[in-house]
Amino acid sequence: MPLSGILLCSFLSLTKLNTEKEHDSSNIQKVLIHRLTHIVIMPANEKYLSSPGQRFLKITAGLLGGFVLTILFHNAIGSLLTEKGGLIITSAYSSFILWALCLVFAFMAKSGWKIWGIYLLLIFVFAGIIYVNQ
Amino acid sequence: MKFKALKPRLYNVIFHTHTVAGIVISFALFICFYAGAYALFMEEMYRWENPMARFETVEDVDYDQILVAVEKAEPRFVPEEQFSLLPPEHTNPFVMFYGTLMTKDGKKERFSTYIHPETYEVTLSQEPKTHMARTIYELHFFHQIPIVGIYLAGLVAFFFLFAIISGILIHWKNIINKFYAFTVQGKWKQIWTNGHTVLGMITLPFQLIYAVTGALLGLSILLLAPSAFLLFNGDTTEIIKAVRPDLGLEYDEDAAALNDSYSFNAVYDYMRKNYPEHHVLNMFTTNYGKEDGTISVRIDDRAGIAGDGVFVFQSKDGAIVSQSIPNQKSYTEGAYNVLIKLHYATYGGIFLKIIYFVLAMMTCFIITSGVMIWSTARDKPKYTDKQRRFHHRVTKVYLALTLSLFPAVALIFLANNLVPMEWEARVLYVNGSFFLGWLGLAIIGLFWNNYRQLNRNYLLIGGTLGILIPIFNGMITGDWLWGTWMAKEFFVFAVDLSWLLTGVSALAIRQYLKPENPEEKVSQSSPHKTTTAPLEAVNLTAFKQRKTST
Repeated sequence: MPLSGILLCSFLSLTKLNTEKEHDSSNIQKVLIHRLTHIVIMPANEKYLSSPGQRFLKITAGLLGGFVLTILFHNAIGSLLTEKGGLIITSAYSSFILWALCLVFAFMAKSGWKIWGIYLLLIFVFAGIIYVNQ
Repeated sequence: MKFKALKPRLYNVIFHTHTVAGIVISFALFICFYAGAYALFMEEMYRWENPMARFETVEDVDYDQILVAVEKAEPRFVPEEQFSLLPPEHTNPFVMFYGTLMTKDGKKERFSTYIHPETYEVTLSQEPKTHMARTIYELHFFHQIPIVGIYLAGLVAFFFLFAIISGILIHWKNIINKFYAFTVQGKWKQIWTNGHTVLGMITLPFQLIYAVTGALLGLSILLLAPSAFLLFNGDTTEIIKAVRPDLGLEYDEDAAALNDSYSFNAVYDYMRKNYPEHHVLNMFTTNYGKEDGTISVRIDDRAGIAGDGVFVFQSKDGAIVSQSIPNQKSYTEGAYNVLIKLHYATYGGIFLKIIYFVLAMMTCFIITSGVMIWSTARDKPKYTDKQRRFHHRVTKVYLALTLSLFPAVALIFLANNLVPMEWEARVLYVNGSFFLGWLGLAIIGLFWNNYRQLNRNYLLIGGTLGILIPIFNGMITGDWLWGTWMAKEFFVFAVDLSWLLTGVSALAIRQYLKPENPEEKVSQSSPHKTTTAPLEAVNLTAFKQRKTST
């Protein structure tokens, strides 16, 4: 954090912006800080990204695990209903939304093993519900 | 109202996944939206595409007579297999007929034909005469890639959904305060970023709809197969029945023969009398000529979101055994068709289609700006020369492949006019012109290292070809722009006028995009900044010189 602060201050003093229309210097500073922070952020800071093994775990958890999870989730509800028409048609769009959310959550997890664990647990719960109600 | 940004770790992770997902699907998604935009008007373009269809639409058609005419023209026709009749519409004044025939070796084959509504002349041919709009439509879901094309398109849509969700999360804090933050001066990266985010927010509902419905249309098998297995012991008809109750009716192959089937004209007249605002889309039969046979009718008013309906008439007495009434459907009956309508824009009339077209083109811009952000964000000294050349190559390939689609689509419209109607294999030549033309244009683009020049060149080629389209249409078919307006051929007029305006606009925009000087640096950094070394055109030669000198 202090390093980026020093970098920002040095940028502030070194660069001039011909495109700025404001004459108030404090406003220029505020806009500069905002713009430069944005520039420093992209592309993503590599220290937050996972190792290849973790990446594989998270990607498979999100895609494969997420797919199985969302199918079993919807079918678990279906196994509890007698009139399944409404569920079937809702799952036409809700399945994809839930699957995409599973993929987002998989990447947000700190550990690939942890998110696989959570998804597997839920998969067994929903599979159980389907089995019991067959 | 203040939105809280994500914490740094989450922000960077979601940012990275958004970038990767976006770049991976960028090329395919661009094609989906670009081809899809044109495919919206697939039916409206038919009269332009097939000059023989440019005659006045007739309301009064004897459909029973049509059936007799088809049976006479095609003796191999098998009436027991499902066949359908499509009444004339303003977009296509022919009666279309789809059925099954039995070949000499006893194999069943589908065939299609069109019948003139007044002369009842049946035109049989193995190949359709025109395929122009259909080719663009098929490109939209990668139908040209055998077997897996549509699944790939569905996956692209699914990852697009992921990119949308992650994009909203990244932009969360700035949604309100940067809603109108559109810059046209300053650093290129800022220009691309603001364009990407602002337009992304504005088109958000449109994009969400297409991400979900696109995934549904491409990947429905992923939902159908497991659900059938888990809930219905592998029986897929149960699921289909929930969505289309008319398709769940059971028929007996060995049912007794029926001599006097209920008349098609009676069915058609019943529909027109009771639902005058609704077009009859098609009438199709199941088990025709048998006792339990039915005639099903699909209607649609093309206006309301639930304006479609299905009615099933019994062949033996004309009683209605199953119906789905427009605007009176339950959630289960109607929801699937709402999703279909949202995707195909078959509601709200022609102006809604135009709005969809504009939004689709905006989405193409959003995709391109995403790639440009990626490119300009990596135009920094912290990357090695080798990495920066890679970035430049990826960007150039992307721009060449996607921006060349504009002149390529103009090319297929021209080819449709230039390839004579008499040729049997004309569809092959028209499609060939499109795909080979696109390939050729893309390959030339790879030699243009300056992005602005690349863009200008494609605008020039596309604009010129676009202006030629109405000219060639006039020269070859005799229907000039003023003539089609007077003759009330509005669809033909619209296609010609649209291309004329597009061509002129493309050339005008090209003039506005004049390069500042012959040695303009195209690394997209602002002219006043000197922190990053520009990469393209001028300096690639410097790289090569440095390489050969060491």
